Amino acid sequence: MKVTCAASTLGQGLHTVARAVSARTTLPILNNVLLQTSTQGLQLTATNLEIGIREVVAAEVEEEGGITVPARLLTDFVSAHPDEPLTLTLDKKTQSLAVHSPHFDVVIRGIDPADFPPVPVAGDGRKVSVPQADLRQAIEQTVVAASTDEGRPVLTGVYVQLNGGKATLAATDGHRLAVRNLALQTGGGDVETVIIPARALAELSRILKAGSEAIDLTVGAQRNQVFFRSGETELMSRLIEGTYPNYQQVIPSQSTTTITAKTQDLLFTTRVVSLFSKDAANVIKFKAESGKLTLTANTSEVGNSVAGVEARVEGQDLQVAFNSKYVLDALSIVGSEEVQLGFTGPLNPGAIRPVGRDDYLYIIMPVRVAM
Amino acid sequence: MRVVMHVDLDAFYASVEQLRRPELRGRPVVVGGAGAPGERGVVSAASYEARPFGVRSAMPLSRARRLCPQAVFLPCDFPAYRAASQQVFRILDAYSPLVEPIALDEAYLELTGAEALLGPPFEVGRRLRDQVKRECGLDLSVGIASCKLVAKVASELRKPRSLVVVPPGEEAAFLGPLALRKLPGCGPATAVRIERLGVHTIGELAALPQALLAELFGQFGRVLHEHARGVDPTPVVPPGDPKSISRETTFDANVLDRARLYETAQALMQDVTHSLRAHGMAARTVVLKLRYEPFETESRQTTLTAPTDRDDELARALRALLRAHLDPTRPVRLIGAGVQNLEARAAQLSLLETRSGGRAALDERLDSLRDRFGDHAIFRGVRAGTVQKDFRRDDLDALRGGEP
Repeated sequence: MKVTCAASTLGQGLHTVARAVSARTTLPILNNVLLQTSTQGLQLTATNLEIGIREVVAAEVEEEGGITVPARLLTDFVSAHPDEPLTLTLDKKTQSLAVHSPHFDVVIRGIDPADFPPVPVAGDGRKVSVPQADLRQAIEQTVVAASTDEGRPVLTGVYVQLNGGKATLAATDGHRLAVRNLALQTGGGDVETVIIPARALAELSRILKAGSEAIDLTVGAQRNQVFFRSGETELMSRLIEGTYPNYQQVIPSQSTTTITAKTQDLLFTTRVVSLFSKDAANVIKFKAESGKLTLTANTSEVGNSVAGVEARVEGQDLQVAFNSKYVLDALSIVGSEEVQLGFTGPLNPGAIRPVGRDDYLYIIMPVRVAM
Repeated sequence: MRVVMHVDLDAFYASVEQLRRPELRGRPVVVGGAGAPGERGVVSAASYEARPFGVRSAMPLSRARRLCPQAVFLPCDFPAYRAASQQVFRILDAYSPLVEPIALDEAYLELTGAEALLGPPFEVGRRLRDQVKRECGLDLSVGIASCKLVAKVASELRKPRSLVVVPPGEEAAFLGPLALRKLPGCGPATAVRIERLGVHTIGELAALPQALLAELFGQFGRVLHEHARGVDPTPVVPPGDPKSISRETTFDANVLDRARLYETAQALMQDVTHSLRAHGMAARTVVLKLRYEPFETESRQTTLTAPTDRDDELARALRALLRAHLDPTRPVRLIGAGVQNLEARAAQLSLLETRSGGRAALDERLDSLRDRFGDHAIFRGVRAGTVQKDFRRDDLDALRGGEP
């Protein structure tokens, strides 16, 4: 193998695929990035067995071949290097990679690419495409509600349903639920559902470059993998097996108290008041009384805080307590200028919705406290 | 020297009824149950006019009716009693910063060091009694002494409208001639055991060697001996967040019946959880107390994975303690249930396990019924069937165990 490419191009590609390299692994080769020549240039691949990321960077290929080298070392070296052409040459006998530039000559010890676990490519299967900005927002708006508790694996995923020209993403950790609908750019067909690990989607949204092009989503024909492709970047993830809970049934159909406020105002006040919700459940109380909204928090050894929020309060008076983290998460991602909160009582789920859009819904279960 | 006052409203529920319905004044009034004729409740309060007929608190209503058919029988109206009680406690609060409510109609006040401010104890007692009569229309009995125990005995000695002050140093002399059963904590069962020693007055009890009482009653014997001498160092504790909550009951006759023990324990736990929720708290530790015949007290506890205030979860932990520790061969004379390790309640409800919210709501509905109609208005069904099933399952297990 012998290829030449610009340090900046290679650096960006390495940064992207390195997201799939796990910090802690018992399999040494998973610390490595796989370099392979391809018809378009140099293909970089990394995987932690749960997700895999592949990107092709522009390169001049003189001689075909492949090798794996420690991802961290190569990335650090290339990032530090001035933006000049680098020539990468494989010494097959020693399984090492020589990198030559006007300034440096380095040799990096590698491992035979035959030992690298296969990272499958999208074959046949259900394929749709989604506008990139929409998907990024949809991921941001849902992954936060997914569970991190491996005790119930399906909840660590995001439930994705494809139905005709629409997609729905939903995630819940049992305390809150986030549901986002979005329109597909191309593709359609029957209902199909998969559970994608939230971590995989979080990585996807990080590596998606700001751009207007669509993202292809392919559900593997075996229905155990999913593939995302944007330009020269590809991310694959295993799917989570299992039955996702019927989240539809916890969505309240109406509310008896409705509060409408400027998202930024409510976010700011919630954040400041919640400095005083330091107990185990981070309790913050919402009190709607005679048309006013008041937020309070107190922790016996810390102190307490009370603040009014400018808001339109309609319906019955009510006091309800939430984990302030869940409220802050919702207000940070709802993405609209105004937000609407709907409640039906201190023991019933509350709903947070963007005003002027009906594609997003965030449900929070209250904390039961002494009022 | 400490100065402690015990106050007790006379025939409280009945007095509140007579106060708001002037036509009842001077007539025997019996409050209890739901007020329906023929029902099986007990007397919650009897006015002083009803007492000469022999009507007493806790007596079945049917018996009260036989004893005093001309009495006016009324159902309990707890919201009214609570309102009247709050009015009285507002007055008490003006007399001392340390007021310990015991019940709607009973409290201790710490008056230590307040003589310069309020005047001599007897004057304070009279002023308070008159103020309560004037402003609330209710009669109050007052006892003042150097400790809670003697103050309580004093206030109860000459009800109604009594005012008894026991001067410091005269506690033992004051208690001495009184019958054993006047001593708080000395219930019928304990009294019978002491009377077997030929002891009939508190003074005679005080004269017994402490070691003998310790032998008979353990730690409780030592406390009993101190009480008989008028010594009680327990402080007046204003209500705050409790550190623990417990209830216990002594059986009239020792109990071996397993179902009855489970049933009693669960009823006690319901009182505990009700109080726990009223304080807005949740508990991490459940405690079971058992006193076996002759006088051996055991306390067993278990700690839950997360704090809770739910009836079902705490009762389940208590049942598990009973299953693990109740010795079925020994007669039980006292059983107690309690919770410890309390913290402010903050239970994150679950979206997916919708039953958790429903169960909590059920507890709260039961609480509101008890607040309106009294602590014994409603009980969870004690699953006698389950207990029996356990018996059968035990038998079955024994059978299986016998097989190879």
